[in-house]
Amino acid sequence: MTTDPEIRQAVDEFLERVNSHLADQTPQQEREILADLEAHIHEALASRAQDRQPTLDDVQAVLAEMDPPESYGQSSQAKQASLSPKRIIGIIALCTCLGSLALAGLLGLLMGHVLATSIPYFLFLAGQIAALVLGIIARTDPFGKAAIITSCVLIALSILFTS
Amino acid sequence: MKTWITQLRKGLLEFCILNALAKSQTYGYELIQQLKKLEELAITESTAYPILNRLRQDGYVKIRVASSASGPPRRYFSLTALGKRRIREMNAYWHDLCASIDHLRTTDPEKGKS
Repeated sequence: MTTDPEIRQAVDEFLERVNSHLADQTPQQEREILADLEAHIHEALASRAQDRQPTLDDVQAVLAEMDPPESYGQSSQAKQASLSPKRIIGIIALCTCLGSLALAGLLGLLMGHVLATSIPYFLFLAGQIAALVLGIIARTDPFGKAAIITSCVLIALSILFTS
Repeated sequence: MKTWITQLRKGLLEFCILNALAKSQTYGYELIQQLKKLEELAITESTAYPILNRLRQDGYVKIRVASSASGPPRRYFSLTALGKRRIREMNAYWHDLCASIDHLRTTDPEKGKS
């Protein structure tokens, strides 16, 4: 494996971008795919450079010939988006986010108020924090991302209105 | 037509990868280069490596990491006993399928003859 820091950085950045698109894979599956890709890149570099040391231009040429990182999120056989673990967690996160909002609103209506120190508010806050944590776990899934964004916005709005 | 081709390719990816590995073990880069020659199938890294990973998870493919004097460690893919049995079954089915389709294509339904 080449020790040139610029080349290593270029390869690592590419692999990180691929990793960000590898949704619905277990961590071990992600590691294996990335290891295969890394070996592929270095073989391609060795093939291109032959007997000389590969340069940054060689790396960029090799990476340009490969599929873009976004295409790893579209693989039809490897991605089973419907019921993967991350998809399930993402859905639970979003449901928790919206459910706690609805529950807090309902309790607030029944109690006649939603003060910063009231039970509905604490329930709401606990639900949003739980949704945020679950969303971070499932951050590569669209539902997870939606849960993160929604819970952050709701927490920020609640702090704004209760301050 | 494009949709049909896309669907047909999807169904054949695993079959082609297992057939490529059936001949001998090979490392990832070499396997991809071999598969890329099948232009009609348009197999690239982003389709092949996730499939290889799944085949490994399912027990059809194994990996051997071997250090290389000239470069990075190589990851050699090969079929397990289960993988060899699977590709035998797939090839047998493929043979029968092609025979049936050829018969369908060439037989005149009215006369019952090819």
